[in-house]
Amino acid sequence: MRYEFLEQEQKLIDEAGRVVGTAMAGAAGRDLSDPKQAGELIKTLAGELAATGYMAAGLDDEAPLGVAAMAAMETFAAAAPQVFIPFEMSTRVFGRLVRHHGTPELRRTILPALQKGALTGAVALSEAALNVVNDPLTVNGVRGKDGVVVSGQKGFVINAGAADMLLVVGALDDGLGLFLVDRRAPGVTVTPADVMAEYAPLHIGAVSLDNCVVPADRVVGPVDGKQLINDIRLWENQVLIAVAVGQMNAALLAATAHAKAHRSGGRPVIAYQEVGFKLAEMLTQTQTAQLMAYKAAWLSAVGDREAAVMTDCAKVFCAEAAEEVAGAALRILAAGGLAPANPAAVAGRFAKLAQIAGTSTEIARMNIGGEALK
Amino acid sequence: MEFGFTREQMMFKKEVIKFAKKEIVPRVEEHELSGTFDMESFRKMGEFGLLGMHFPEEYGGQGADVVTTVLAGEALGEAGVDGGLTLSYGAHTFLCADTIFCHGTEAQKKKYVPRLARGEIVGCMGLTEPDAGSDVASLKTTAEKKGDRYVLNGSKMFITNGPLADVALVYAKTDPAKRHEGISAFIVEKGTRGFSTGNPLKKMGCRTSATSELFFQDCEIPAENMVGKEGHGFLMAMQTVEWDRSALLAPMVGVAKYVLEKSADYANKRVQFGKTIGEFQATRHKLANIRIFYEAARLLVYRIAWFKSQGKPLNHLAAAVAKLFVGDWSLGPVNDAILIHGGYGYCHEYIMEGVFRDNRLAPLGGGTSDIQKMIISRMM
Repeated sequence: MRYEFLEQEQKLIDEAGRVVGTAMAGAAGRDLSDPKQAGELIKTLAGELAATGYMAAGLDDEAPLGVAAMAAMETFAAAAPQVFIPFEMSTRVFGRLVRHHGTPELRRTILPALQKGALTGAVALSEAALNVVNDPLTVNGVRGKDGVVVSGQKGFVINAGAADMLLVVGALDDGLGLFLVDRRAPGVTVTPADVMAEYAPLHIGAVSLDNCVVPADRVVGPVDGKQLINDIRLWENQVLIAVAVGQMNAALLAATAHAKAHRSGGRPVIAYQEVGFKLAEMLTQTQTAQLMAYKAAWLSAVGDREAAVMTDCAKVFCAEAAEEVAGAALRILAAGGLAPANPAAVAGRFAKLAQIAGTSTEIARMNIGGEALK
Repeated sequence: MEFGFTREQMMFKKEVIKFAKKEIVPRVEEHELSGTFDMESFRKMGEFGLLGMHFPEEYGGQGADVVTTVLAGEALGEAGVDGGLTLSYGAHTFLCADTIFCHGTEAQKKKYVPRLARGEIVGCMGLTEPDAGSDVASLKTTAEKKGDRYVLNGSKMFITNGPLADVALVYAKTDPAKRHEGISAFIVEKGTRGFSTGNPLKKMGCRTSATSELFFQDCEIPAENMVGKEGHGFLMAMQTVEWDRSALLAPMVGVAKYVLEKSADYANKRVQFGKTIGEFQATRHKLANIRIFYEAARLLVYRIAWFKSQGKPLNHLAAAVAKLFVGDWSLGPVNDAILIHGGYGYCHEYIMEGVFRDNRLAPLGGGTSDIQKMIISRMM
């Protein structure tokens, strides 16, 4: 047991925060709703973060995604959630799929490129029913002489519009397969999803595959479908947990600064119990969420069998607490908090996303409750 | 950062659960219903070594580390020991015995700590007064020095173990003109002339812990009964906060696990509309809420335990966060447990209503939730 970071761990967190801060300052003015500009920023960030050790977490054999990496992710997510999410869906989800389920050849070619910022990826899993737990996937791969011919529709794929490569999960033989396709390959169409303008930098899109031929060396499987889905969900959830905690921190920081600076009745508003107590509750939720996130990351890194359920617990708590903290921050920031770029408004939007994306909080609760009944 | 327990710690926790299930839990219902303290269980806890396990062996303890000590408290809750007995255990062990151990003279330590650790005598701590709760510095009980004696006058309120205690650690003003700096601590033994206790208070929960007023009317005690230095009482009382936010909260963490297991067990057996209620989503969601609270509270409590185990100064912010979270968030999950049990949850048979009443103390005792919010907001 150790409830503090070692010097080396703290260095990773600080360095990652510094790199992200500098990169985001340099990116001011970029139109991140433009796929090209968003993709370039992700690649630049990946290249610069590589030197800090940030990119290795979960991708290198010697660097599991542990507590320090989660804390570093949280720092990144606090600063720029609209960049963090597609970045991590590429690095930590796409990348880990390649690492854990890919062929040696795919690992050799994809992972170095991903880590140095030469390539970005996206994972296409969800389909129309958005319920991979109960429904079989309709995207299907059929083996042919030139490889596997893949057809079907995927929905709400984060980073689909900006990624270079898509890892598509679909039926193959009697199990599930992974199909690595170039986003611009013949037969692949990406249509931007109809989402709020503030989510535009996530480049969420629907992916349509129409007799898309995937070379055999870019096909993995059939694999253990249950394990594959569980892995994807766990990794997605880790990203979303970091988003929730990071955004709680950002909203808390903004609300605290405002409460200290804004005076009413001759004193700073933090001096009023209604405001001070609200901030105390927000801090309590934030610290608790942080520990939940860290514990889940630690269990996952050490390979504990409780990792999945603890990640679900952390996902539910962090995502829901983030919405409460964002709401309380808005109350404290008053009208100023309504500005789209205000940290409270941003936190509110991304807290909601954190509840919906990955394993939804409803499904996560079902999983946790199911564990209790075993 | 890492969150694992050692193999020895986990084995010890299992042993405590086994002991508690065999020796204590069978009598919980009887004492809960009658609202009486279970002295037999308390003595057995002493024999097992739970009433002072962190003290060195020469003082009747086992030399256990802080985390193991906190695990023992969690184990009691997890086994199903009621909140009243664990409250008594906490007040006796950490608020009374530990203060004497940490601040007493060698003679005081030798005289009281081993007997307290073995459960041969019961201890209590008297700080709160009828008009001095969260505002400790305004306490009115005085201790006036007269030659080689102190004379105590005043009263204490809501004192856990008060009616039973053989030894009371009492905080009183030795310099009424001062606030915090005027407070000192004294050992007052049962039977001392001028020292009496009120009738046990009838409480909403924690009914098996005996709570009462303490009265001091020209109560003379030897000057050597002062614990620590004159004027240091407030600091000594504050030093118990680490235990208060870890070992005393730990049973509530454990009881969340107990409630989860009982609720899951019930949900697996109770059939409605042709299927177990565990198959209904709403039931699973409630079970999830209980588990999430358990995991969250556990992390906050062991954070304090770890800080203390490392000999670090008390992190007031972390301590207040732990107390606030366990206090304010603990009722929701127990309420969910009652709802899972339906009508049975409202009846004593399934214990859930008892846990709900016991947990209601959490936002009040040992520093209210509002006080925790004041502490946190002032540190922000």
